[in-house]
Amino acid sequence: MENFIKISTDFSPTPGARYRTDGPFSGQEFYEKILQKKFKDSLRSGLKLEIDLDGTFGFATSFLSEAFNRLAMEFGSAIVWDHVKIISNEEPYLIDEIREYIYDAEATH
Amino acid sequence: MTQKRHIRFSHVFSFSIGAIVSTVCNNWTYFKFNEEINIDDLFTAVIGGAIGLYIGSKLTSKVSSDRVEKDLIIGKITSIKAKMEELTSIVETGSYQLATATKLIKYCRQSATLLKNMIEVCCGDEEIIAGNLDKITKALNRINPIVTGGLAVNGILNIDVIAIGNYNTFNKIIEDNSLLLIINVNRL
Repeated sequence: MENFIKISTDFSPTPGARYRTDGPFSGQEFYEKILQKKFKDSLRSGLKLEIDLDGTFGFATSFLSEAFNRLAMEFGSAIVWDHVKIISNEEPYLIDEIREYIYDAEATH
Repeated sequence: MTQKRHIRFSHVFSFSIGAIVSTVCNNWTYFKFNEEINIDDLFTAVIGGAIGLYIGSKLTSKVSSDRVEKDLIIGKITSIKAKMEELTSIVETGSYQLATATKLIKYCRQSATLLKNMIEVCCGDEEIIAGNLDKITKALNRINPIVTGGLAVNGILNIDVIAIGNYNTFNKIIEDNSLLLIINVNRL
């Protein structure tokens, strides 16, 4: 699907830490390989980017913080939040945490 | 299976005792029964007995279903405690696989969410119980960045003594409130 990312299958079922230097499947790697490009495509098409978090072994806070904070720093918090739809049936509380990472980017810059 | 056999045995045993007592009473001259049966009294006795049995069975069934719900809740709390002990054992080494920590934290946070739903359904607005669970959930939220937020090397995360100390502070809150939660659920 064009505007859809399922992290467990499109990236890894075991997402890692923040930076590439931290080890495999980092938040930085996810951002640079998948998230940034898919988000640009979504903005062009005018559709929301659906990001499915289910099916992984769990997320490190550093992974989510790096990926979504960088996305918000590049495109702006409000634009990012308006153009993504986070799916997290297994861990619904992650949706609020990601929202915080996105808006933290605006507060810190 | 054994329990069913036990119940069947106790029914047969009770019936046998009842039959023996009735026979003894009938034959013993001390008891003199009036052989005329008053239909009204018999009717009242039968209805009274039936109502008694109905109320008894309803109460037993309620107590038994409450017990099942309490056991489910306590089982969930116990499983969170077990996973937290596992997490503590790896965190205290100061160096561990990030994937192991994220997996354990995910289990605990998911279980706490499920526990919240279970408690809402089974215990309603019990403020003390909700308060215990809220403290556990908040402590888990604070533990998450401590054990998964640091820098890693090849997927191995190293945390310092201060971080371990912070972890232990929140872990103590989880331990204490888990215990209180079990006691409070049992008291309902």
